[in-house]
Amino acid sequence: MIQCDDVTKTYPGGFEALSHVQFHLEKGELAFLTGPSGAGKSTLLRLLAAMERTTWGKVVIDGQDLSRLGTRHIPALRRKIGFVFQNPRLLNDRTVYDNVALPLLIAGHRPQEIGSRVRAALDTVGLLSKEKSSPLTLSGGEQQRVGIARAVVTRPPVLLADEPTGNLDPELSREIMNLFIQLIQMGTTALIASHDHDLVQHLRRRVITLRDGQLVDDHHV
Amino acid sequence: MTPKPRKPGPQGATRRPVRPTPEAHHNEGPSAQRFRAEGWLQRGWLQQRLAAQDGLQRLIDAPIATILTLSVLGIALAFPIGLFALVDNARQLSQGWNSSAQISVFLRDNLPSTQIDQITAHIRQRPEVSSAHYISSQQAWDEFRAASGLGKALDVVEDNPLPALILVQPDLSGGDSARIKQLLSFLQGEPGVDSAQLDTAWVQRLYALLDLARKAVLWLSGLAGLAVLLIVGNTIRLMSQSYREQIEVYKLLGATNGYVRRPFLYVGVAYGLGGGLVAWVIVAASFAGFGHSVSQVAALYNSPFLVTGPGPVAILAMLSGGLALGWGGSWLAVARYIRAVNPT
Repeated sequence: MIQCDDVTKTYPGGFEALSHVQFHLEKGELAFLTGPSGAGKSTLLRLLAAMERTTWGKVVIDGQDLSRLGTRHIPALRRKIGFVFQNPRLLNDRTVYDNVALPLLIAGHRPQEIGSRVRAALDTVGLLSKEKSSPLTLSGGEQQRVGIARAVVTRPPVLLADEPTGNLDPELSREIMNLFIQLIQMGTTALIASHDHDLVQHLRRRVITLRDGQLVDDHHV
Repeated sequence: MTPKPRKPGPQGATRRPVRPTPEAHHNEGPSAQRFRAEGWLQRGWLQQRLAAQDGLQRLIDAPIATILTLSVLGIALAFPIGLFALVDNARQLSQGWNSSAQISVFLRDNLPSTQIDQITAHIRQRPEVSSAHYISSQQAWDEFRAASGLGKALDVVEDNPLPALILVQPDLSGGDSARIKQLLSFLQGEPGVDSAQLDTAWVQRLYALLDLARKAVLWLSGLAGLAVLLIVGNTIRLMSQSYREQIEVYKLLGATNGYVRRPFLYVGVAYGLGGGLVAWVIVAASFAGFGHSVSQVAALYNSPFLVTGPGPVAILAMLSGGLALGWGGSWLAVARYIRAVNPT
């Protein structure tokens, strides 16, 4: 489902952010991406989200080779991917409900048919009572959870998350991880960048470790 | 021009209270399946409707900027339409003066009455003649005696010096001076005609002037249209820049360039159409305000002339022109920008 073949990303000036990275994720697999900051985790996620293109090598998502994907086809690809960003990137002039509803509206669903899905997603992140609030009135952790609800509301085949639990307390982090695992059981493939060593160890999943742009470890805990 | 943060309100999302049903998250309801079965037409219509709502919301979010822009557009559009209506009124007024633009066809002396009838009938057959009226030399003399007020003093003149004539009323509805010239040379060439004179060459000059004015107004309309295009384009360019963060988030969530562009295009359409409406109000109010004064002046000249504002065709042209220019202006402003903005 997610396939990286010899992926290399060099930035102008010669800095090599990723160097010959190679791994495959099967459909329904969950893997953690770890490594010190600056190891290339975010770069890898940006390549997978078609926000940047590889300098060398191939990134394939759901059978589509991203290095050959025309600009026209990027929106359709992104509708298959749920993103959780480090900075949740919410629209502050909309309510929490409208932020979570956005991916469904972009996918072309009727506003009157999405209410139950939006509320179910908010319910799973424990923010159903805040649906009418502005994101500005929420705490950092709550904003992060709204971002997670927005990423999972479409039940995407691929989930990419960059430090999704960075702002959350341990108990909430575990709940969010359980939510991700529920998604996996429904067939979603997920790659989650995380610093949270304890959590990663606890969940006993595949862990891919990057250091200085190179894949140094790939094993099941 | 920067819109204020929107009050919490849905982008087309209904606030119909729906009980949270957690299982719906894991199991697509029948409504979702029904949606998929619907055709692209309904889907397209839905997308257009939501985009229009979103665009209007952006205008409502920045009321002062919206009102100012609409006023500028209204004034820019009011100029050509108002001038067009003014020229139109001048043409209508001068059409009333056609009665004075008649041709006097002087006949040779002592023509037999059968020939006079023949000439009159011949002239009447011409398409550019609306009427022809024979006045004998005796009738002319009588009229002159009555109108001149000289009365008995004219008895001294023994012979009637006035020739017989045919008064020809040309049909000037085309306002075409070439046709009148043609008619004049035809009349001069008729056998039995001594000479033909157009009494009012100045009417021709007036028509020429009105023609020039019409062309000038057309040119002005072109400039005003360009101004509308630029105003809408610039306003929407600034607006789209203040929406940069939102454009990035939309694109990250899989929105196409068309999806992101659509609300901006509706903003442009709303500007153009709204500007057209404002222009209509300005022109209608101006004509209503000045119409009374014009009637007063006309009354002093014993004329029943009434100013009329732009007709339905002009209004329709103004509104559809505004709409097209607004759409075009916003397209020019945002198409490239939206393509260039990519999530970082």
